[in-house]
Amino acid sequence: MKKTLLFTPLLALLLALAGTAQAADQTFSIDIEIRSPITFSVINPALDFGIIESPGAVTTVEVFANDGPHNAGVGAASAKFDVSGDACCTATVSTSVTTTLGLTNAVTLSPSSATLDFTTGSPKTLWIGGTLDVDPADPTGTHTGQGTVTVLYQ
Amino acid sequence: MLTPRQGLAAGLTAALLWAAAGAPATAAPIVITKVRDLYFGKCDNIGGATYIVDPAATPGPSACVGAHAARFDVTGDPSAKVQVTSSKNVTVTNGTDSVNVRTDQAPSGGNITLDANGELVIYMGGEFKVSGGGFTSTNPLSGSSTLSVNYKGGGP
Repeated sequence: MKKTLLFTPLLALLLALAGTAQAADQTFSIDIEIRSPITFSVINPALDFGIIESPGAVTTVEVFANDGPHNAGVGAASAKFDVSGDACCTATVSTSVTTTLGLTNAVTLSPSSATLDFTTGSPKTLWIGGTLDVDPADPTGTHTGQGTVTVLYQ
Repeated sequence: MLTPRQGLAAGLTAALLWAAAGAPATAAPIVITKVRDLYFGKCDNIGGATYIVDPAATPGPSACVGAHAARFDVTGDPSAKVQVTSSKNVTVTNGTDSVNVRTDQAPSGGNITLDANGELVIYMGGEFKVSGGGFTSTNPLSGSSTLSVNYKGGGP
């Protein structure tokens, strides 16, 4: 009789422990990729239409987005930058005139937008040219304005 | 008087009845399925910059390109209360540079419950700050952590 009673509570305790739920664990990774910032090396900071003779009629002059020659005045040159970026990525280029030259007509920059693909190498050379309709009414003298070129990772 | 065999049978019967009536109910095992890891994306190497991945389906405005929070799908007993824990600070390194990532979990707090289907989605985001001098190397940084889920109070 006594031996039988001793088995009962021990066996019951073992059955109760087998029903308890266990915690679950899951490992995960945390990863960061580092991208070099975009930087400019200024080769020529100015888009220069050169010395233009006052025309008898509206005349379009153009500085091409390259090293020339240009269809503009004497000494014309495009602005030129070497832009560096990370090999991971491409970037978009946008340009805008922030201060006009104060002439009859406005300058149109070229390119207005572009893409630089750093996956094929860095730095990339970026030229900024533009077109201008010179008007006979434009005053003689030096005329200066400002523009902005922005390069952002896509 | 019972024979030893009869006594053992009686004891087993009593034990089974006691276990069914008085022991805690058996709970479905908690299963965690990792859907994706925590990825901060391609972050610019700017000294002092802080990058954040929100613990959500979308990483948020302060995240780098391509970032996403870790996601875990949890199953267990319907409407069960659970405790979710993980390390709040994790070091990630590329062998040259190291940075501390402060993790951010959702849902969080002491009142997390599996839904009526016994399911729960957990997102793990975080943030880190680039040191003043920036990273020396542009090699990827990596680390790991563990998410733990268990029933509160030992069972549902």
